Amino acid sequence: MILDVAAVFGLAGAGAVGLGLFGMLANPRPLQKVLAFNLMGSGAFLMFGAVARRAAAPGLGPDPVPHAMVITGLVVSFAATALIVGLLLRLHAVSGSTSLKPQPGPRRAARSTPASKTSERGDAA
Amino acid sequence: MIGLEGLLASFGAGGSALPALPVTLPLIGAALAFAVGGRAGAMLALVAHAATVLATGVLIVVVATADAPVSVALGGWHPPLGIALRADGFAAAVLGVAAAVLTAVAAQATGAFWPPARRARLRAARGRRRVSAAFWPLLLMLSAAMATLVLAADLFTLHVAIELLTFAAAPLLCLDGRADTLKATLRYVLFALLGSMLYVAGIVILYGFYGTLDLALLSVAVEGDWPTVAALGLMTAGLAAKTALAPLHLWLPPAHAGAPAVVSAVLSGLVAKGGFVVLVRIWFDMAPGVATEAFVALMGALGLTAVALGSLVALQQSSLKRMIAYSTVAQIGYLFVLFPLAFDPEAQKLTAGAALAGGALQFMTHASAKAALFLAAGVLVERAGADALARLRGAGRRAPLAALAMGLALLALAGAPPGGGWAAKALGAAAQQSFWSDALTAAGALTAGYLGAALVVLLQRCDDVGSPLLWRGAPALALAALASGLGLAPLAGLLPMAAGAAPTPDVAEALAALPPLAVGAALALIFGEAGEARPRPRARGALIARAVDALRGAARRVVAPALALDAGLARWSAASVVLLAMLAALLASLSPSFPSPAATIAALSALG
Repeated sequence: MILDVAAVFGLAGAGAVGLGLFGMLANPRPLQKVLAFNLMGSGAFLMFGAVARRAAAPGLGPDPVPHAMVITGLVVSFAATALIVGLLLRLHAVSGSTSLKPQPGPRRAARSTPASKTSERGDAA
Repeated sequence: MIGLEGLLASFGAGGSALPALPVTLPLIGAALAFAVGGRAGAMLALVAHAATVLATGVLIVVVATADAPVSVALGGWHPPLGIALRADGFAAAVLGVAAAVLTAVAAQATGAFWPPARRARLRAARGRRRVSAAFWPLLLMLSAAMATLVLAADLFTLHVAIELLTFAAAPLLCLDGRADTLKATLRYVLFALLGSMLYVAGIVILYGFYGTLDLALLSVAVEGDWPTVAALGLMTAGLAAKTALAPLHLWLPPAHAGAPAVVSAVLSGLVAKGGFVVLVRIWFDMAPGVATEAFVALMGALGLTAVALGSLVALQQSSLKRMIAYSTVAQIGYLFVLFPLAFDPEAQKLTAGAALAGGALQFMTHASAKAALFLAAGVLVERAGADALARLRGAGRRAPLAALAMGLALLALAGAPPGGGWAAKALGAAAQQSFWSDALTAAGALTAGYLGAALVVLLQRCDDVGSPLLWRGAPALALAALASGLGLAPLAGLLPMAAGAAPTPDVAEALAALPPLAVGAALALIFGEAGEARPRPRARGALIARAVDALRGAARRVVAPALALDAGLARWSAASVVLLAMLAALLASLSPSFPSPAATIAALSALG
């Protein structure tokens, strides 16, 4: 069986959703979770694009409705990313760390703070 | 998205723009309140909210008298290309209770969140000005998002609405800017987004196979084949995460316990149940025939797990707001018992009958009673300056209206007639007298137990009563009165109940509600002094006192594992595993080849 272009893109999108889901679930750092969330979103939008391509009738362009939804979805996920990054920056300014552990004990806090600071720098670079 | 032009265009197109008003009015108000700022901005916000309440009232009357749902195609573009808003009875009922909750919250927020005068140059006043400048526009945004959510007629608008609800709720949660509320907010937003991405993946699959996301168009096309099952499984799991259905509730208690009380009221009352509204739309409006016996049993089991876990943990809380937050976890579970109650085993589909009416009533009762509880807690905690129950001893005597509101909310939630909780249970039992309806009645005892335990502490005699705060509890009391009178409300025009099926509160019903309440009172006395071991003068028999203490100790040891289980589930890694397991279980239960529980039991007994 030969896969058509839309199927390849659809499978790639599904793969990206899976990778993003793994990142959201398994990665403890909030900033990486945000990236994983964006990967999930991109995968879903890629699937939408593949759906639009598959729906194209012979001689006609792709279905425009999924495109409109992808644009709206991009705006929503952009707003979500901005909201989370804003909250993370504020959290870092207030507590000096971006760890989401509810109430870290004193020893654990001392250990985790420098680590998350370096990761913050690494992400910014 | 839905601006003034859209509104005017729909007027021009000759359609009734009424369903668009509860969305547009608060949006316009939010923009104006944000642009103007200060006291004038807050005034504008109140005016916009009043206009929204008026429009909602007119819409409810129109829906109740009309035969068909009132809908508007925005900008004159009809589905599947355009976006439609559709107000049916369920939407009108939810909109009505949302308007009531938001009004009470706004009334109480005019205290703590009223912008200080421009001339006040104190540092504290500057901070308060910033907080209040954010609060009023966000409250209106939340109102608009909630209206969009209940009126949306297609899956994608539902997605946008539930995201907007999260975006309006998140800044409200961390208005005080402390590190732990910021952490709680981030956990909430990240987990909610995880859920919404699963939802989006589901709607992509549905669009790919059916070419539309309009609920009405999908409802005639949808079949129980595997792509549909995969999509619905993904969407249901995502929405369960968003609505904090235990064991996926890790984000709810810290977020709702840490926020200001007026914010917790609207978040616990309305926002946390947003995912449930979408689930009702999906399963009752769009795909009632795809539901299987195994699926509804799974949903009911998850709901009862949430009821048990949330109630048992709430029973052991030593802080008032955390106790109410865990009570929210429990009451979200109540809502999911709707699924097995509404399932018709002969037709193998969900039916929008008395059980759905009961579910909607449950929703309305929880929304108003939970908001009342948080508003009352706000009054009590503000006066005592502490959230710990041990320091709230006797606080109820200082704010009698707040204590009365808590008592009324207790009765409404625990299922005493004529409260909404009682009517919901009566409707559920009328739809299907089964294990599920009995479990709901029994769970009322736990609700009465933990709320009663708090009331026992709040009403204790204390010497330092101080000046009474007589009127501060009025908004909470109004909401609690609404919750405990919902059973009498004439909702037959809105909710799908047969004429004359509305339950009537009589002596027999009142007597039937007594056993759970009595068990609840016993629980309240056993757990009523959680976290406090103050030696009290024991005039009568040390033996009795020792026996009572032994009973208390034993009872606490019995329920203590719930705390450990909850602490384990509060970790992200545990919640991840639970989410994947829930997804797998949903897919398995929805797949057509999965044996139904009844068939399994029959097969097993045939073996025996």
